Amino acid sequence: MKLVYKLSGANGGKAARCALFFTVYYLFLYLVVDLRLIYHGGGLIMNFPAFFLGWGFFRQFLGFPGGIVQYLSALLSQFFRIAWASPLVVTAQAALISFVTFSIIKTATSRRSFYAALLPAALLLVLYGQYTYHFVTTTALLVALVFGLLQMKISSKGATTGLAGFILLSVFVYYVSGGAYLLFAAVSFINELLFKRRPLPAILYLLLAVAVPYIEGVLILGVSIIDAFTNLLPFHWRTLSHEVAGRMVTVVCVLYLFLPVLLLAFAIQRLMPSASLQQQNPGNLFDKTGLLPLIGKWCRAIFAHRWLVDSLALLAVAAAAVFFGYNSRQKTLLSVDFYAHQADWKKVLAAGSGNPTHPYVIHAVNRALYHTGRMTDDMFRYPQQPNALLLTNDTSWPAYWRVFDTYLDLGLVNLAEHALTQCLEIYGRQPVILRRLALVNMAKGNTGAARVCLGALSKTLFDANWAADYLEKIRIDPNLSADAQVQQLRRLMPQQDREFTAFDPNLLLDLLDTNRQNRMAFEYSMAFYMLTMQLDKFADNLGRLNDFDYPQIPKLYEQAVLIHQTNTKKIIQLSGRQISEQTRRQLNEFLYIYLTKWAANKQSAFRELAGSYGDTYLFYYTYGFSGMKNTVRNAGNEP
Amino acid sequence: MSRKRRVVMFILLPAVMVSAALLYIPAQRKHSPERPLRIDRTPVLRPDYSNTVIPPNIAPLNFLVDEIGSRYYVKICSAQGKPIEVSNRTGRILIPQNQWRRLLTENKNQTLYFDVFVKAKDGRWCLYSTITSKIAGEPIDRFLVYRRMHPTHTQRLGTVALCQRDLESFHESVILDNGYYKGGCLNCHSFCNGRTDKMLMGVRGPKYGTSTLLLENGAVVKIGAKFGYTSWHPSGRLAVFSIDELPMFFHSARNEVRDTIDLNSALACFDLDSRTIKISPKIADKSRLETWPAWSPDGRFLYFCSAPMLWSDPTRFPAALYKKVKYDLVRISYDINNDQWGEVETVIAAADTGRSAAMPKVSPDGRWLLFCLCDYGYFPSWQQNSDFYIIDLQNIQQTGRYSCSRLDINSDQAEAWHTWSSNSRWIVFTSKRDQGVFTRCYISYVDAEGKVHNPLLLPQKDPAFYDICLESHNTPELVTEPIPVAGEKLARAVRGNSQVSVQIPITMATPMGRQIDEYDQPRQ
Repeated sequence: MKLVYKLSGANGGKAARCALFFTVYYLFLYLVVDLRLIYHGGGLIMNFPAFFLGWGFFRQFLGFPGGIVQYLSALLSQFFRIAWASPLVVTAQAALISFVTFSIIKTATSRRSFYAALLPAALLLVLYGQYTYHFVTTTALLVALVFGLLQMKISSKGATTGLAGFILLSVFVYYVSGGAYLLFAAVSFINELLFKRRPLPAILYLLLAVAVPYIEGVLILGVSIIDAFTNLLPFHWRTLSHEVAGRMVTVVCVLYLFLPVLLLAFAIQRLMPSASLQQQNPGNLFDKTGLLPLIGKWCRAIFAHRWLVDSLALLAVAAAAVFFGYNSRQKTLLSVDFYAHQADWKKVLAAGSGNPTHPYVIHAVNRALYHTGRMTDDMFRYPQQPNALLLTNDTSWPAYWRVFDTYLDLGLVNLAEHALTQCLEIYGRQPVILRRLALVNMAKGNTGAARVCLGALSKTLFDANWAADYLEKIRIDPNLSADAQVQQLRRLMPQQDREFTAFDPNLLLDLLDTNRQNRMAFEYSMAFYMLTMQLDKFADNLGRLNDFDYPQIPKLYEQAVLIHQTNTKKIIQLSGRQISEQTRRQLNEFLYIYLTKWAANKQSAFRELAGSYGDTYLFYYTYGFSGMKNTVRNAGNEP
Repeated sequence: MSRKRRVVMFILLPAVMVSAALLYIPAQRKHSPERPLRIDRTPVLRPDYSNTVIPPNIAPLNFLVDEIGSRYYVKICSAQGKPIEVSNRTGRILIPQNQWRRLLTENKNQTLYFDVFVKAKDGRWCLYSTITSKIAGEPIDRFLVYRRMHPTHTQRLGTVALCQRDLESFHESVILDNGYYKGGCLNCHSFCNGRTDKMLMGVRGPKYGTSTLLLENGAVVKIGAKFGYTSWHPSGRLAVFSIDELPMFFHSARNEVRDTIDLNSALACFDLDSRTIKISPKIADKSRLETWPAWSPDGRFLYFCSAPMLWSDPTRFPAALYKKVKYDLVRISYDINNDQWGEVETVIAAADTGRSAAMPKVSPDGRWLLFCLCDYGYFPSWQQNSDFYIIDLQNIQQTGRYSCSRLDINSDQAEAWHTWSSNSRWIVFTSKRDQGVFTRCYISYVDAEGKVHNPLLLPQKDPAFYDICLESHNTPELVTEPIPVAGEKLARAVRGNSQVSVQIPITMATPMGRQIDEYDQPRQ
């Protein structure tokens, strides 16, 4: 009881609520958001930094302002790979930002603005709930605030000491945190001018804020004037020039502006003493005016239980952050790719239901269906689009990321290399990319290039062992004749060269010409012909069924064969196989509903056909989309 | 801590440190092994500098001894001077720069010996066969300007940096990178007579478009046109450049994925005094593709590559024809005083070699013409079979015939982008011989007889640098002096509105039928 009393007291209560807030914060990030998805990126996060051990990598960050923060952020970001560690890093950063914000407000105004200090943490939650990565920028913000607080403490010892401290700290803070130094300067300036009421040093602060980046950044470190003033700020050109990296930049800008604006507001409030008096004790408002005495009484009662109001307010802020911040559709896009990279196909299929019609999800679901042996039977249980199969006609950046593993599975090694090289440019030296580039080069016999990729990987935190194993394998046997993965790729790689600028379906047939047992190439080419309704080409390649061990003609292929036979009145050679009676009956029933019952009126027949045949090729061929059976059933529209 | 303790600490701490240093320094030096076991083979070194001819002013050739051992000792010596000794436990041989410079300076035209000792696991020292290199008498130009970037396909979001390397040390500085102008590409750079007082540099990007920077005596001027492959006339009064349309395409089964084709091209002249561009049908024949201009050092001849245009529509990729495009190496005389072009004469005909010529470069003494031959097309960097060939131009004056010979330094990977030193004794070129996809710069000595000696990889301070370097180094150009302009000054010109507007005259010969999509063009 004593503890409860203590915790519900003024400071103890706030500490307890704070602890509770950040515990829930951590759990939300851990259980709901899953920051591993941000580490993985899925092609949707293009500014996640790579990190390599060693002096050579570190030295690259020493030559420009903000390099130190970038290096530290890159190091800490690597822990996003670990499910429990990543929320710890983010929660710690959020807590520190809140603490420093609280301390700055307290130092400047003598107020204990507990809730205002928690707002930046809530904004951070929005950033992560939206699956964006701005950790470097927010770390720079934290550094600027920490030194801003230090500067305020120094300047409280006098104007001269403050100025000397500002000059020294400016040189250091600018070097460490780049453009975020401007926040440090802004906080120091506001404090000096409006709270310390010392205009002359304040003006000097302002001049130094312009001079330091120019002298240190442009003249000494030799960076461009743009980078000198904006590196690590949310509106840096690199962030703004890419739509993907620039998501939620407004929120980061609000984070940066939050404290200066708040300090300005407090300063203005100070200049209006009556208004501030009223706000300091809202209960008095009601007493003094004498208006609405009942409400006044009610308010007094509530403020008597202030901790309850505060807790509810805190809860409301957190709930708002979660409600407005959490993007479940984005999570689906990231999850399907994350699980696909881990070859956890069941989870891919499960995660896909969150955003099933997105081309990236369709693409991942098809890959999962192939790997679980269900593609030829269940493909149309899920929504399909012709271009989603191999993300053809999609030249957006994430598409390169999404397809490289599919190409590797198929054996289209050069297409994978093309996509991976594009990704190296777009996403930087991510271990995911380097591993696959190493593999591609090993398969192609480019051991020199493979060694470079493996050498780089051997400097990473989590892929070093994998790289070291392969470097040793190459040393012992440069041909890697005993490596199963490399040999598998070599078996699949096409022998016949073909020029391409975009995906060409003939590339799949080239794979089959090289290796008749390339089952994925076969199923994908047949799927491509079915999706694009090129049933003549589908029929031409049906004979390849004999190259595999299908016990009978797959269900969807039977439907395609029957459609083609019905359309062309031609008999397709099935090499001794037969269409099952069930499929024939299904076609007849489908045609009966469509042609006889609904007089070939697609719109009228839709509900009935979707409910019964929404997972068939018959339905897809008629309507051009699929995955309707479950949708219609779930919606209760089944006839 | 009490005062007494503090005093003791102040005395003890330096004493411990000095003792440790005294123990450590002899441990570093006194590991010259006695009576080692002789191994009858040379040790494996990374990079391998054995049997090369090295410039007397090159930075130390640091290397890694790739042999298993617990301790390594290397002795480097020549005919004169004190040997250099390096000993450590890692096999990373970092040669002291001052000692190295002294040794090379004192031993020009002498042999350099590397004795490598490795202490085996059983504690015995092994001495491998001595590795030798020759120190040339002639120095290489001190600075190398090149681009550093990932081996890109079409996306260019990473950093492309134009760098300047001091070959006498390991100092590399960035002259300009695409971060200065909010992303994009840095194209070919060309210098007049291997000096940096006159230079042209192409830039293109989504924010500031395409332009060419002219550096003239420290001033930077932006020219509102794209110059392709460029060669300065030795007088410095004009530069010839290619206007081309170079879409990329890819191969599904070839080792090098990237490929490109010159759909339409011509050569044009930029007159420095009048800031105008001139076109002559002699070098801009509508029925042919002209590219890779290179002036002879006397300025009397322009060498370039020329191939018949095999298609009528220069806007469509000719899938069936691209492998049939083979360039002749030709030249044309030019009188700069009267602005008169002579007649085009064939130097090396594709019909004779069955291959396609590219990147001709004449040595500054006018004696040698070095160029690439590959199976087809204009871009040897992406042709695995691209090799260097050399023509003795002096010999032609005697025999009246052009004959080329293949260099021994060629590898089974692509060789391209060569540059001559101002004394015509050194070439720097790029090759994929060691690391496939990643292009590296190599230095080769060219003796008086035109023999090009074993190349050495551009040395780096960290001998393991190339083991993890995911960037390519390409388009090297040797210059005798550093570029006198800072990056921000160049960038200000790129970002600025002021530019020299030049009109490329559209004649029957020029391929200006449509706007070229700059972003489709290859970078390396």
